[in-house]
Amino acid sequence: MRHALFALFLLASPWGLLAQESQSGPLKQPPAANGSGGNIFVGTRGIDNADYLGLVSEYDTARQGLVPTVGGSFWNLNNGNYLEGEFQNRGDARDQQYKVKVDLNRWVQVTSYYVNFLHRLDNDPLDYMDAAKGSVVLRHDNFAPGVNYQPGWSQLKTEVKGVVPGATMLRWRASHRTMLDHGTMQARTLSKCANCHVVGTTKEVDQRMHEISGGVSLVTGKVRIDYDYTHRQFNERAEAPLNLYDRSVHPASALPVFDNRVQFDVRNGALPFNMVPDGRKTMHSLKGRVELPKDSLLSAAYTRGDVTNKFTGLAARTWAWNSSYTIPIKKRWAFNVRAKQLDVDSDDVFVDVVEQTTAGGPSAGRTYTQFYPDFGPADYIRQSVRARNTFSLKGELAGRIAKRTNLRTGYEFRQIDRPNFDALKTSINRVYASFSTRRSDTWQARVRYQFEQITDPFRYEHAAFQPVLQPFMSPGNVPFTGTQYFTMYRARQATLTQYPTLTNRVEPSFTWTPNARVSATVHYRWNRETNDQLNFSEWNRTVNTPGAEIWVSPLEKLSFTAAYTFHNERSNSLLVMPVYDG
Amino acid sequence: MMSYSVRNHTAFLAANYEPRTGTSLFTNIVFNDGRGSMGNINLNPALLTAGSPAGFDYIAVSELGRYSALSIGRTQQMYGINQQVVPGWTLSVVGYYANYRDRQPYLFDTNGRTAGVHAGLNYAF
Repeated sequence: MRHALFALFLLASPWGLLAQESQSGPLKQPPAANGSGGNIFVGTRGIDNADYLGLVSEYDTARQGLVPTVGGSFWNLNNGNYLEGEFQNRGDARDQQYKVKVDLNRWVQVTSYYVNFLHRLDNDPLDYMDAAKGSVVLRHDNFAPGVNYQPGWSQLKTEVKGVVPGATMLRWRASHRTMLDHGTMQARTLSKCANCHVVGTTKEVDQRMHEISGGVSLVTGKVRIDYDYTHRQFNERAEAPLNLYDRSVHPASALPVFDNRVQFDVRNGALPFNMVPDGRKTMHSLKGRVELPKDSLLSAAYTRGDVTNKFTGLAARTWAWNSSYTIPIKKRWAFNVRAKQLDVDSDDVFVDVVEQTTAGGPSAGRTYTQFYPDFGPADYIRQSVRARNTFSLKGELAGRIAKRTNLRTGYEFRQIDRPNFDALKTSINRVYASFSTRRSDTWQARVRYQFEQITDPFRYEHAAFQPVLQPFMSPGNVPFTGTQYFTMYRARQATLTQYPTLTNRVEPSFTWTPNARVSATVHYRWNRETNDQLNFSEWNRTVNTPGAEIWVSPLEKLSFTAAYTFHNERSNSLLVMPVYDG
Repeated sequence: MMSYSVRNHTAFLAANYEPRTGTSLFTNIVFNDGRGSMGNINLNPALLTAGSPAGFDYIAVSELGRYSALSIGRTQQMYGINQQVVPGWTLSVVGYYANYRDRQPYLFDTNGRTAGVHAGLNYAF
């Protein structure tokens, strides 16, 4: 639907005029001649829907029946002062957008944009969970069946930019952005253990994000420096939903023998879940570029970001810098070297586990760690897997090797240090070459090849494949005396990943343009990724993606465009199915 | 070992025609067909050193891939005409049709269809 309205809207849009440019001011801007224009559109939409709209019309109101539609635009240029406006309303408060643009003789520009639409979300019925074994039953309850979750999303963004009078090398900018997400959605949680109990209920959503930013630029003939600051606040005003968690009882006897395996249950009363914490983010950005002698170019950028969870007080910090130097080699070649560094640091979290005792059963009066001392301490420090230091260095040579024939080739080394995860250090060596030629006016060809060798890619060690631990019933035929989950998990031997150690990628394409009325392109992408460094298996993935496009215009005012793409992907991995009972 | 395969076909067709001044016809049609599933799960209970647990059917589990199969078909079609009535005034009519078909429903039935006509008068000044 959006595409349809957009097409209608474009029919009388003044965007064609806006594309014009003038050379007589400090900022680039549209129309050159004084004048005004616009359009008004009044119409209606008649819509008929069937079945579930959550996927076929996820972001469209698509209201059943007839609804009015209005839209329009206006523009006026008077001696360099420009005003432009657009609006569109499709008969629903959650389906409208507005835009205003003001240009005061190119010294100050103001652009404000508002958009509003709904988002259809699923209401999972949960009624397909039919798993059961004897008295062990997976129970499910949807406390709000049949409710249509359609929160509305809106954004208002205003940007102002200008030039300092008397100092045109100084430019400034500021913006404000507000996003609102309001309505309801489904929230799910479950009680464990013994009988699993999955529940779904309605959760209120009232989220607001405010962002302000400002920046200045110094622009001279050969030097440009930009500084920007951004501050963002996120708040969820709605209360989190509550749930009464079931008590961990034996599925057959219903006795409370598993209390020391959970941290909370019905005795704690209704507890909040699916809570969205308030947050804050700030970012500083400094960029610079300078043209050096012999047409060489040097640029650099530094960014510092801070993200804080205002509910927990935990924070993450990001530092990023990059630098690039480009120098021409003779007339037809250029060499570029680029370095990047990204450092991410996140606060550690001390997880203080609530260790309950059990009222009855063999472990009565004891916590889990007291009954199973081999488990070790329950409390732990969670260190973030986001923390990392990434460095890359890339060199690229590009130029013309023959008439209408170009070559681009390069090498990149990248290293990722993760202080808190299994794959502590990953190294990537990448080489690539791209060859393109247009030796004839009727065809052009291009092929790109890339090879990567990766050492120690991201992986999960001890992820699967435990040996046979207990091929007999536990003594007394009770779950307390046999192998426990932690023993089983710690016995896993196989390392798994879906990241390769070797990749090969080839991308050829060919375009044929026999005359001004026909153009056809065929292209192919082949990508093969393998990892043979795992201890129990090999992982691999192969992707084949052929495609073609054709444009034909048999008559001056008749044209056809057709395209087809086939994506065929296959991956192979180790599959382990642990078998256990209890 | 197991494999996972994804096959996705996407086709697009657009046409624009202006038979005479003030009249234009256009259409946009998109088809998408996506399928994915696990496969090649060949569990062999004869390889188990401790024997097969009672009540656990390894051969049946090898058919697990069937339950993971995804098969989606989707189309979006738009047909329109713009007719200038008098200079500055244009009548627009656009027909729209979208269909989503889940041939292997997993959690619940997500099949859906929406169709409509947008009609209106545009005045350019």
